[in-house]
Amino acid sequence: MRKLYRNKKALSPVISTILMIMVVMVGMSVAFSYVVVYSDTYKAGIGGSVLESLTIEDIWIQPNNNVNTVNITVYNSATSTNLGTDSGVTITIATVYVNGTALMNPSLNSINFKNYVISPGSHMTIQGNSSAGFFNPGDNYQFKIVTLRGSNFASQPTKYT
Amino acid sequence: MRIFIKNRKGTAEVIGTIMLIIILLFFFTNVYLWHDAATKDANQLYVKQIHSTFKIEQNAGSIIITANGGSNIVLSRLWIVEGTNGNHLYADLGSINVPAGTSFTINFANDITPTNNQIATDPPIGDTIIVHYVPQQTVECSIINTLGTVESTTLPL
Repeated sequence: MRKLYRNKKALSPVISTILMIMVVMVGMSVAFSYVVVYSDTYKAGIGGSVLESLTIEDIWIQPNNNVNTVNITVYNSATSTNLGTDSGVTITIATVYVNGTALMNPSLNSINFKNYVISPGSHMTIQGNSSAGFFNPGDNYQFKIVTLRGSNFASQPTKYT
Repeated sequence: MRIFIKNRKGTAEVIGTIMLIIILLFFFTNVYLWHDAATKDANQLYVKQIHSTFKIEQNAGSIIITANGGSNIVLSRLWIVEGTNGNHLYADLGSINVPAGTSFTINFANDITPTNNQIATDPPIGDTIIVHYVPQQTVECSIINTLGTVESTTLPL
């Protein structure tokens, strides 16, 4: 035993091997953590957009002297039952367009609609404003809803009467 | 050939590269497989929608919804758009299950005024539900089911 302790010949290779293993383990842990975070972010973000399913069930354009109010009622059909998954997909609205022009969100006073968070299996009415005179009777308008994950849901052309 | 096999120089680099490729493959296969599974889940919803078609028609002032077959349908909401006033009203149907190949009837009764554009309904009895609204003008009725499918009909006076 004393001989083993006093023998300094193989000390350097042993330490270097241990150091190398430690460096590799730390490096791989960092790489693995990065990949796990990247994977989770991808699943919750852009990757999860394939699971989003939104139905535009009603569009109600209400003209006013100063501003046109548009009520778009949507239904989130991405429930766990419909998808066959453990949980449904909650959808957050990013922007709403009508014929390519963004509607204003009166709650946030911007074109951002992120305060509209739709739970799976629930209905929600999104209220947006456009400038007065934007809608002309007899013309067709197509509404497009863009979600925070990047999905697009467009309505059939709706005739404004 | 023998010289090539016996030459041990660079063995560690070769093994290291192979291991790195295997680790990278493991990482990205994980993401790819999840994406593939998610796409299949999304397609499952489309398949369900294809197998759960229904039609909506009016008969003597009532609305009859018929599940065409394949799978049951679950009714979620009735929308009524008034032709003259342009008002949009809705009634929550509370997940009414209509078995495949059968019909469900919506009858109207006018004794409760809609509140905030929401029409009151009675609890469904058998294959019938009473919606507290009577069309005073031509209205467009739409039904949405829990799969997100919408069907419409016009209800004349």
